[in-house]
Amino acid sequence: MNKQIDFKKSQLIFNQFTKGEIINEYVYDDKNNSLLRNDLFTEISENIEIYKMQYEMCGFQLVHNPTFFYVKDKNSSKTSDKQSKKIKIYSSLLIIVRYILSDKGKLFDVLKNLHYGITAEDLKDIENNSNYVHILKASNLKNGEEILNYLYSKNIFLKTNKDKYILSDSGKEIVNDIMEQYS
Amino acid sequence: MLNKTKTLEVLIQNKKPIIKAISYMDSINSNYIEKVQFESFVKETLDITKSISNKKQLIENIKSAYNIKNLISHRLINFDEGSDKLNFIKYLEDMFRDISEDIKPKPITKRSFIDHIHNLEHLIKDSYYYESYSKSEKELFLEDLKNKLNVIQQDFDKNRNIITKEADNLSKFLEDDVNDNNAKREMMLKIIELSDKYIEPFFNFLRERNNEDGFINKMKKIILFFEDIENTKEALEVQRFLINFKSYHKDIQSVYEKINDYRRKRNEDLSIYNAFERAFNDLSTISNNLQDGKLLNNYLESSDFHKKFNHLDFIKAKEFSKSDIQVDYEDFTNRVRKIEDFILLENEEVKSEDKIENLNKEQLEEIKKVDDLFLEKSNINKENTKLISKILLINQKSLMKKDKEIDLIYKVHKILSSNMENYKIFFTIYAYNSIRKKINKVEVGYNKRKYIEFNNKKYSYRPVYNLGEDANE
Repeated sequence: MNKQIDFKKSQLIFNQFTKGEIINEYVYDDKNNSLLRNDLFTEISENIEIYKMQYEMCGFQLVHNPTFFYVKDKNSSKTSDKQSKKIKIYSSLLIIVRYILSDKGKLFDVLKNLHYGITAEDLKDIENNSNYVHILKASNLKNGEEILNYLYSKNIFLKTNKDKYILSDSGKEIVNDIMEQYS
Repeated sequence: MLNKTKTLEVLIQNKKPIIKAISYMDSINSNYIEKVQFESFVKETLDITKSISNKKQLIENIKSAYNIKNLISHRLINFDEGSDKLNFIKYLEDMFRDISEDIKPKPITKRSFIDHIHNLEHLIKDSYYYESYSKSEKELFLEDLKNKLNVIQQDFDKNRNIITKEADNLSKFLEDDVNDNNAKREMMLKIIELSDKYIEPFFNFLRERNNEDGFINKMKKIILFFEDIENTKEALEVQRFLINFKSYHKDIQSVYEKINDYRRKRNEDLSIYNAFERAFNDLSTISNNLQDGKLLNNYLESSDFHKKFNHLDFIKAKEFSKSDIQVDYEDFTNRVRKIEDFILLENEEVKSEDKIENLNKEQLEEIKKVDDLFLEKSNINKENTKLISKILLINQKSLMKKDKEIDLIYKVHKILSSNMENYKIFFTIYAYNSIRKKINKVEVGYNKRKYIEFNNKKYSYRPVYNLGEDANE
């Protein structure tokens, strides 16, 4: 143990994890329009063994990636291979990135540079696009706004003070994961 | 036949055929163009000229100037009779690349500069014997050396200008907000090609200039040679070139860094773009296949889509876990899919005509809404499923009995509906699935339809008979 557990932070961490949210290394700082190291990420990193134990005792598994943490439901993995949340996150992100790059003709920088970002307006009409309709249906998604809000709620996207969305650390990692599989 | 001066004048004033020919060779990455192809470009120019001008003399001049024999006789083209192909002599091609907006001058390859170094090596070795040469040999040697130095200097200048100009044009295009990003993406491919083929090798060549066998050492030896033979004018000339050489490196380094910055950014963009196109096509195919006849189970969860990816396995869901309740809807629907194409058909209230419509997708979605409700009422479901299990257990003997007369679905319906106050037709599907797993042989009435009436609604289904080997005889 490197230091005392911060109980206030541990409660915040618990709240986020049990909502199925991801804790990223960096969060968005509204005041300075910049990225700031996430206190909660630091808290877990510095007390990783204790946090691992805490979630292990609750039937979960704390999963550590270099730039983000999330909690895995161990019971789910034993009983079924249904991974609706993973699927929803991956398909949502795939849809957004493809739509922005290919249909909107924007550069990837738009999705990761905090001076740019995207809005729900950029994804308008995706639900009427014949290339996406069947995918939205299979992914149980309605429209661009819903996708963006969903990914924001999971911390896959960060929201800037200009109400624009950019990829978080975990979002970038998922993009990399998709790239690795399809390069 | 025109004289050389007149020929060059006509070629420059009517340059389209040559520009098109060079452009064509660039497009097919060839150093030669077929004679027929070249002549077709000439004909196009002649036709256009005829259509806009009646000057017979001009038309005749173009014909004569572009005549293959005329071009060969003035050594403006190299013509290969065997393959019937031609190319332009270097200075002519360079000149037209220089004066045309449509074709870009090609930077000089690293190989050419390496050849220059090898040539310098030979000249330096020969210079050691300079004193032993006759007067005319000395003159010839100096002439060769000066020519070679001149060509080297020109090539450096040319390469620097081409690369700097080309890089500037490309970066202006990329930084311009007006241009479409898809066009920018294509332009990026050109930048990467320019960088890979010309800029990086040239920059590496320049970086190696200070090596023992590098360019600067060679040139220093040339300076010493000129000093030895007391030709200070040439020594100073080479010295001046060496001083300028530093600026080549500086200029090319600046272009190299700029292009590399673009390349890093856009290369990432291109890789992501291409990977996401492939991933999207895959997802699109999977989604399409799910819509194909699998009416109940047409969500991505029933595919292997997620198995390709490494992150977020079994991430905790915000909503209550489906494993928290007894009925796992997804598992449930998955098993429904497997029951010998059995489809429970729901109809409107029974009318006097007893009209039965087949179930369509919308109606199935209605059933799904009921399922959703079923999920929400998880506590009630727990009780229901416990009760269903209990009823099935009590009636197991009857249900497991081999029976060619009464089908299983009817049996389950009768048993449940008479034992459950809040019976819904949906419970029969659940119970059937549960029972079906235990029966190893059934007969499905694919061409038959049977009906169940419940709450003034009529349901049709394919009958399934228990022919299990373990069933009681």
